[in-house]
Amino acid sequence: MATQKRLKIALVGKPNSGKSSLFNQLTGLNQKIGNFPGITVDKRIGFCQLDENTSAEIIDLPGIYSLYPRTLDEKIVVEILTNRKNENFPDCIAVIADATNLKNCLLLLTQLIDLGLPVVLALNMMDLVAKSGLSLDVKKLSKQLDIPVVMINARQGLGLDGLKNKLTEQVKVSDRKIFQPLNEVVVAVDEIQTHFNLATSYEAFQYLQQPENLLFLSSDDRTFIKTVASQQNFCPHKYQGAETIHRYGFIQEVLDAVIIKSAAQDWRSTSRRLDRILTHKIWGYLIFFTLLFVIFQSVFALAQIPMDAIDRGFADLSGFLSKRLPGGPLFELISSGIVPGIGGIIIFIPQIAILFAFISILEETGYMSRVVFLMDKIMRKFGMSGRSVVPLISGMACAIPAIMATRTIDNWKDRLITIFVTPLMSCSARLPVFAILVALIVPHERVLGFISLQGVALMGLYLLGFFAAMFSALLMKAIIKVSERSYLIMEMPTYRMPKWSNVGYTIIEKTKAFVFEAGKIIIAVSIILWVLASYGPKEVMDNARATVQNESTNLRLTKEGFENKVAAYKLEHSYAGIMGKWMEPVIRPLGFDWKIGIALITSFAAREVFVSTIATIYSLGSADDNATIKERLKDEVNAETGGPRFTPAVGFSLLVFYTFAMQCMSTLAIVKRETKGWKWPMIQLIYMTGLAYVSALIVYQVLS
Amino acid sequence: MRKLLIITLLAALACSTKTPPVNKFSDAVLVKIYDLKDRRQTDSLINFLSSENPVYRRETALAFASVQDSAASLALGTSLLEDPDTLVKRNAAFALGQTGGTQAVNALIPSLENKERVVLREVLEALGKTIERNDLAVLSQLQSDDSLIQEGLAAGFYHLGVRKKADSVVTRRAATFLTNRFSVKTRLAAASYFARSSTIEGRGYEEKLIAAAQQDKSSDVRMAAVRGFRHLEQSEALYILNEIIESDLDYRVRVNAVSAGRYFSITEAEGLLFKGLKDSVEMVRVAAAEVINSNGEGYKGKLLHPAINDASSPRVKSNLYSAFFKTNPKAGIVEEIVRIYSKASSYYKSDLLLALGEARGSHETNAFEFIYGELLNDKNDKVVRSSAAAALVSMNTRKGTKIPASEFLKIYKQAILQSDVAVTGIVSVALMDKSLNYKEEIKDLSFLYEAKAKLSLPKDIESLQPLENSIAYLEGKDKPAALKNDYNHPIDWTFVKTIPLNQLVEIRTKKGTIVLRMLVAEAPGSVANFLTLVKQKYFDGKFFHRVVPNFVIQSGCNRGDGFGSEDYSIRSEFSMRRYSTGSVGMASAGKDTEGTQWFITHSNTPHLDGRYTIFAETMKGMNVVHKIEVGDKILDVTVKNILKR
Repeated sequence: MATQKRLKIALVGKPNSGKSSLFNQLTGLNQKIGNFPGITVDKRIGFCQLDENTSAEIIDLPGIYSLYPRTLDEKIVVEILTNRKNENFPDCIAVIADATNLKNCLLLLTQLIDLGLPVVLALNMMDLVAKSGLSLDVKKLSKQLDIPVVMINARQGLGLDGLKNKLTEQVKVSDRKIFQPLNEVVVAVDEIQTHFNLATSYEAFQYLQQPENLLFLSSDDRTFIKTVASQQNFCPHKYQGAETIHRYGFIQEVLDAVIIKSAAQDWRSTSRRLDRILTHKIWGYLIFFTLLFVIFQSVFALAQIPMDAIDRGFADLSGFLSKRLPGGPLFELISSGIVPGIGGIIIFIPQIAILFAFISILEETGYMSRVVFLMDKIMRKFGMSGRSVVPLISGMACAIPAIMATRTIDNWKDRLITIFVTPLMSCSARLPVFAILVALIVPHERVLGFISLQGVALMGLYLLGFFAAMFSALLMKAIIKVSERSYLIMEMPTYRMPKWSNVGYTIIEKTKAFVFEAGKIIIAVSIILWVLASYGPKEVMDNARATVQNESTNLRLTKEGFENKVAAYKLEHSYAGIMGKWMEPVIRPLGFDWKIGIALITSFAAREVFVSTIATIYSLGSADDNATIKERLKDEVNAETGGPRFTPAVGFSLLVFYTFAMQCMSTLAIVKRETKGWKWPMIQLIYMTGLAYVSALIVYQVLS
Repeated sequence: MRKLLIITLLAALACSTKTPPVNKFSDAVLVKIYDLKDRRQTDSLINFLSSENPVYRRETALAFASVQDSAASLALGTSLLEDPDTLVKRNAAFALGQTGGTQAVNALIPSLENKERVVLREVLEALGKTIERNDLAVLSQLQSDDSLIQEGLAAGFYHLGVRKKADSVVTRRAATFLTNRFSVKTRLAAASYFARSSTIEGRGYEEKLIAAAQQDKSSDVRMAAVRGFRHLEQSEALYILNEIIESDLDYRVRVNAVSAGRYFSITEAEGLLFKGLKDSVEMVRVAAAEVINSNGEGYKGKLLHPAINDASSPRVKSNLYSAFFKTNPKAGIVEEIVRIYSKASSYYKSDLLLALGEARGSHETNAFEFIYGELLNDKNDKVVRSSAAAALVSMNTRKGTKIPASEFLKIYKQAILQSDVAVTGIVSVALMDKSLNYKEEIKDLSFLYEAKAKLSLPKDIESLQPLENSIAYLEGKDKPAALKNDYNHPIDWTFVKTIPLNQLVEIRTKKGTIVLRMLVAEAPGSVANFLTLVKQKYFDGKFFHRVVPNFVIQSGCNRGDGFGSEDYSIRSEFSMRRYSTGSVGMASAGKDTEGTQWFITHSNTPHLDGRYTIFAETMKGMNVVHKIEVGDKILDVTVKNILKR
């Protein structure tokens, strides 16, 4: 058997040129996601067998327009492609270009040619080219650029063999020199080229043009470049415009030579006819909001079925294990800590899968661009983008998939603000808490015969969350100064049927990302919380049974009642309980006592845990029956005032607290993954908790 | 109180002793930039694009909008793509659009990635002025929810339409922009697309165009939309135009409604046109009479004859006479016209001569003799003689005239030898009319050379150009290159420095006073020229020699027929200001041929933007402007002393 050759191949192209489709087609499920150091961009790497003897590691680089980067994502590409020592530096580059819009795609290609890199040009969307009546002389194009050119259709996987063949052959470097540094800078360029021993003068030109973007340069290198630049009167970036104009001139000449027949004027007419309805000033919004409603319902209700199954499954498993496994802390950890922890991760998968199925369909069909068109103007006022709408609304079902969905927002600041405010949208996990507290403090009455007061209160809470999100967005916008507008002008892609395998890949990719990255944190935190709630100072816990027995000798408890009492006692004296009591002075101004404090701590795992904790601490056993809990809470007496513990003031304070507080470790974990660091989740935690605290404080103090 | 007065006086004194700068031209560098611009010195001017001071870079970029030298395109493109200053980029985009050429396009297309709305707006319009059909998608596929960008797109579409580069996609996009949810400027540009495109590709815009013409809140949009009605199906268009002529309160919309009638059969448009003839505003009546005249050939209706008797003004009457000749070859009205003629003013005479030029059949010879008599009579007013020349040329070129070309040629020779510049210019055009075939008739060109010797640049460019063209034609040579005035009239910067911003100027006429605000910062050369002429009392006693309904009133001609000029010319000075109601522009016979004639617009005239210098705006007296007719005299023009801040 011949020795296997392993090539590194980079996919480069403009956003929306079909790069991801091609990547999926080439690598199938053979992909993994890594990180570029210090940047919030996923590094997608996959593997592909080019022919019998050659395999390739394919890296899908972020979308880029030219070698002069404007965003962090683009910088990483420049960083890799200009540094031959970079670990990701490819043996060969496949440039993917939208053949229906070649003019805009070739700028980058000409720069790569000038860098002396081996390039293959893959003309994508050949199906649309055929449809549009555009006719290209591909051989001539290949000759003019002196590089291999192949036609592909990445969505249908057509022409891949041709591409693979070209990649397997030793791709030679193009002989074309498209842009030569101007005479006035030749001396400086030569000096740099010799000093760094660079292959092309254009590479040296780049060193001079944008040393600040080439992060691999050492400080000595930079000093040297600076000295040369100042000696030779080279102002960085000064020649960028001239270069662009020159390149466009070249591209125009090439296109004039290779275009046999231009596209018919009206080949997008079907698309445009659809747009007349879908972006209509009334129908457009109506259709979009209907669609949003369907998405929301699916994430909210449809996902409930598998989620319940998962929930039950893991509860059963946990129960089964705790019965079957021998006693002892380790096994208890497995049955009550780890298994429910994993359950707590798996339970999100249905929602993630459903939301991303919808989102990738929206993206694939081209409808998402219309959403941006419809919503951007409004959302921009809040420092977000038109693409923020889907995540925000999904946030009302669950913040986890919603935050993952912000990936579609290309502007980093817009995306950050959306991530930041999405958890304020009232999610489904808040509903059990809201339900019980509203039932407790709002009378079950109707106004005008049909408006339920409780319903109004519940709606008020959702609105409160919504307005808090919008307000926070405005605040963030002012603080991080979103000066540049993310979208002013765009070209609408033509509508197309979604490619279902791409939808599948997206779901799998997102699920994997969540399970393996956010999952670690979620498990760790849930174990800690379990320990805090289950363990306490040893002798107190050991004596729990005896103590409860002692205290309740006169109470004639049933066996079940007794067990509940024990559980309550144990929770009270666990570390969580101790923390709850220790916290009491802090939360007392909000009208909360230590019991609520304990619930606050445990419900950090997930908000709905509040209800079960309350059930335990009030010795109610199972938390299934809301009515029982409600009755019990109603009867709870405030030791100091002698009145009921849960006055409307306390109730509303608690409701407001839960509306605003970041009581969800999974959200924090996913924010950490999406922002690639602890900075933003921590800011978010502090901000939301602070907001919750202050609001609850005001509510309680005003009402009581 | 008194104390305050003294202080004010003292302050005023202090000011007068050491005059503070009254405009930006106290800055020597700016003067340098503007002077280089005036001299059209690209090489030196280009250096200021890399000046440290952004103000200088902005002014330089803008200067190239007037210089229009493609040698600067690379530098301008670099500024557009790289300059840190937003306004430099905006101005560079404007200048590139003015200049055109592939290099401009190669800079404009990548600059679509720009994120500043003011820049993008200008880039889009500039693309409309420059791209070829192959690149149409660059513009026609773009979407934006930003009002300024939409405005830029609409403006781009407008230019594409004017340049005949638009397609059905552009038409559909432009139609969408006509709807209410877009800004006035966007709607106006979109309506202008339909108004100023000679043909429109694609369908589906009709309903929106009609809605805009009838319902738009802005009369400018209604005017433009109405002008676009020529693209509609005849019966539908006329049905709506008939409603508009009766209902629209702005007379300018009615003028355009009547003028749109020109594009339809006169039999069908009869109702519209004769309604126009009875309109309460003279301009509408004039417009109607002109359409009836121009479309009169073969009209069989009965309304014309009574209308002549009811005609409200000489201009209307002359046009209807002319139409009457066309509809009724036997009409024996030559004597009637000649009778009126004897007592008419010069401008009335010139209109009547043009009418006589339409006489046919047995009356043709009578009219011919009368007209050439007036042409060769050197006691006649210049206005009369140039009209007589025009009337003869029109007779000469009419199919079916019974008078042989040789007869005309005899008169032409005599007329040219009388060496009146206007007559020479007008006749030259006839001589190179291929259908008349004077190439065979004229063997001896000496009379033309003799006439040419008496003409000189820059004064006589308007006559010299056709004369040279016709000599070349008659000699069987290629059409000579367009004449260009050399730089001949430097700007008097010492004077410019004393002109306050917003200097007011009053034009008194019998119909009232018009007050203009001079824009010295934008067009220093034109303003200095105008104010110098004002100080020389040049305009006093001059006539408004040209009035086009709902377009312009024009004056400043020393002959009174529009062919007048002095022996110098000044440069075009283009800014990003656009022609709207009451803009004051310099008349010209092409770029850099401006002299003494100027005009005031009745309404938006986008087709003049970037092609004619705007040097002032009407501050007061628009009502007077609307009333001015051909032959109204300027009593005097005076510089108003304005309070110095």
